[in-house]
This record gives sequence, C-alpha cells and structure tokens, in this order.
Amino acid sequence: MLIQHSKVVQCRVEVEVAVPPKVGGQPAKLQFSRVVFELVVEAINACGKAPKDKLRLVPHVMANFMTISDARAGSNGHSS
Amino acid sequence: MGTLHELGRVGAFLTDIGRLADGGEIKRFVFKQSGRILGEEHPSTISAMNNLAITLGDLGQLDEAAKVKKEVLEKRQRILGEEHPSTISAMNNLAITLGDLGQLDEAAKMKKEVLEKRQRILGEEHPDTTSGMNNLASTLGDLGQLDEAAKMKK
Repeated sequence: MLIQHSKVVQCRVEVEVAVPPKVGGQPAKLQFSRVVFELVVEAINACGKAPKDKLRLVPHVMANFMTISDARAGSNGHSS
Repeated sequence: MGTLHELGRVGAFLTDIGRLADGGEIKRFVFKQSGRILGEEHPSTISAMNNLAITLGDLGQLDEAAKVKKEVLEKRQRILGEEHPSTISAMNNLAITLGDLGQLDEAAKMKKEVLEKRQRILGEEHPDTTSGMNNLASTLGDLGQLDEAAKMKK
C-alpha cells in the first residue's frame, strides 16, 4: 500500500501595504484631489445654465471637497 | 491661494443653485483657511467672512449671520474707512439681516445711512443707490410708514 505523505508547502504571502507616495512633501491624496478639483472647476465653468446640468455636478463637488478638507487636515494644511 | 479662491467660487456656485447648506460648508472652510493662511484682517479673509454671513442669512441662521456681518462691518470700517464702497455694502448687508430679525428701527437707521452715503459717493443714478433706496423703502413699509415708502418706491 502506498502511503502518500502530504507535502506541506509553506506559502510566503507578501502583503503590500499601500503607503501614499510623497509628492513634493505632500501626501499623494492631496495632490490627486487637487487635480480632481481642477476638473470639477472646469466642469462648473463649462456646464452651461441648465439647472439639471448644474445639479449633476453637486455630488462630485461635495465628494471632492470632503477629500480636500480631509487631506488638508491630515497634512496640517501648510499650503494653499 | 489659487485653490482657496477657486473653492470660494465653488461655494458660490452651490449657493446660487440653492444648495445653501453645502455651499455654506465650503464657504466656512474657505473663511477658516483664509484666516489661518492670510490672517484675520486680510481683505480676502474679510470677503470670505462676508460671503459666509450672506449664506448664513439665507439659511435662516439670522443671529449668527448678524454677528458675522457686524464683524465684517467693524473690520472694514477700521481697515478701509467709513466711506469705502465695500464698507457701505457691509452696512447694507447687516441692515438687511437686522430687518429680518425684526429690529426695524435699527435697520431703517442703517439703511438711511447707506442711502445717504451712496447718493453722495456714487450718485443718484447708480444701481447700488437705487437698490439702497428700494431696501429702505421696504423697511419703512414694514414700519408702517407707508406714505414715505410709496414715495420712495416711485
């Protein structure tokens, strides 16, 4: 009778912890949110006068604002 | 400061479409950041404070609006002088909120002062003078001085 020994394979799981890279001394989150903010401002300027179009932008504006204010709070906000 | 300036415009965009609470939140943030970065007495900070106060009034938070508007007026009187158009505008804004709070005598007194200054500095035909006259007539009407209000509205 053949006895098969199970082979224990040890897996080394490498977990990568995402550390936001620093760009110019500031967390990437703030840098990215600024780029998004520029897009939001551009969208506001280009959205025309129809209330429906303007209202569509509100969730994006507020989401971006939350990110900016959080990121500023996290980075001590030493820049404008 | 570019970002804060743009953010102020975003706040105005929201209040213009009736999203007063959201716009007010952004305007408060701009005011606080501007005060921290530029200082409490900087014209941009005072302007941000003024914008916040107007939205507070629109939101019906009249006591806080009046308090902030008083502060704007005091700062502008001290920094820009009594006759500066921005100071007169701040006085007009405060007078409107005092009227909304039911302090009609104080509001009328202030609106009379606004009108007198605008007539003298800007001239009778200037849109701000006409607006000041309309504001005063409205408060005089609320005070029951209907003849004077009607005369002014003509």
